[in-house]
Amino acid sequence: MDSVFTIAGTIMRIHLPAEIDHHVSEQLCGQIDRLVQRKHIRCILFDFADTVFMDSAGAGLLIGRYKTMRFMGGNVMAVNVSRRMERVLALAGINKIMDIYETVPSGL
Amino acid sequence: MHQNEMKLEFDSRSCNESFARVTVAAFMTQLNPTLEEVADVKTAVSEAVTNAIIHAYGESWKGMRINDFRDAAPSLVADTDRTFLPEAETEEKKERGGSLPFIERKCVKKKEKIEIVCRICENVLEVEVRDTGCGIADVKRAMEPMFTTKAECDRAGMGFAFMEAFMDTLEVESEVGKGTTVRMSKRIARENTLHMAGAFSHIEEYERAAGGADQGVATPSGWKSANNVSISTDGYLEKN
Repeated sequence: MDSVFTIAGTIMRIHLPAEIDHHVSEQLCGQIDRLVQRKHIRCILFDFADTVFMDSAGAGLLIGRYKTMRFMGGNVMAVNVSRRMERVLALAGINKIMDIYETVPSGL
Repeated sequence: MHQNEMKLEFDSRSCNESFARVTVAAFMTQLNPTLEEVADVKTAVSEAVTNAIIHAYGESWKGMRINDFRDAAPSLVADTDRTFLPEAETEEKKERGGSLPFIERKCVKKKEKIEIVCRICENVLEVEVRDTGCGIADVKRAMEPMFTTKAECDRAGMGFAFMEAFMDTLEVESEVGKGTTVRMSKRIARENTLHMAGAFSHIEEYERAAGGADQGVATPSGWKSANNVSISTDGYLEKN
């Protein structure tokens, strides 16, 4: 796993791996959920800078995290989203439930 | 009549997902596809294979205790309930004096195989993903977007919708108890200008609108996909 978690206060930034499929997302899920609980994370930033492939399992991962964060009053967003990833996210309807940025928005 | 064919058979394990899609992608390079087309096919193959692993063969090993496997096949069990937290991992590594590769807690039954057949007919790539798993009772319902039988596993229910979106045709044949066959095809535009023919139509439209009258900004017309996501003709996505 080459994903790296950066935690600043209650914000966690996740540098997603190059390929997110069912195999990878299952491993990531456990890691994220555990960190969210232990470190009292209220905002998750999914960083797609290195990601070149994602399928519906990746979409499921994002939707699942969105649900847990929403339940706790937190927030989820996606940054550094390439055109290809944007297409996949839009197909899964994720662009309607979370903020997607092509770069990292200033102030974060 | 096909011009080239390949057949691939592998165990129903999630670590084979990337292997399957990369193999199909490598096979299709002889059609000289664009990167976009390769990515489309990779996504569709990944969806089909993931479906077979999760739904057809049900990941029946999930929720079983590690000891069940230890008795069954000791060599397959490398790690127990290992955490993936970075700090925990380093400590574990120290104890072991090195890192062990993560091995899935799964014993694959001999019959749990997934078969992929790829064919090239002129400039059309056909992919067939076959399994001999539980089958689908109601194919039509299973193909509906957002329909999933495993919502608790963070499934988006978008597998078939993705396959439909990224390939030209999609056929699903299934029999309960016998297995499922997913047949997909995609036309690969050999002359790269071919599939770009429609891509500039909105620019012409824009020019026509801009030249005709001072209307300010003309918006290119988009088409509606099945999920009501508006996709403009050049593939840019717009939020609704």
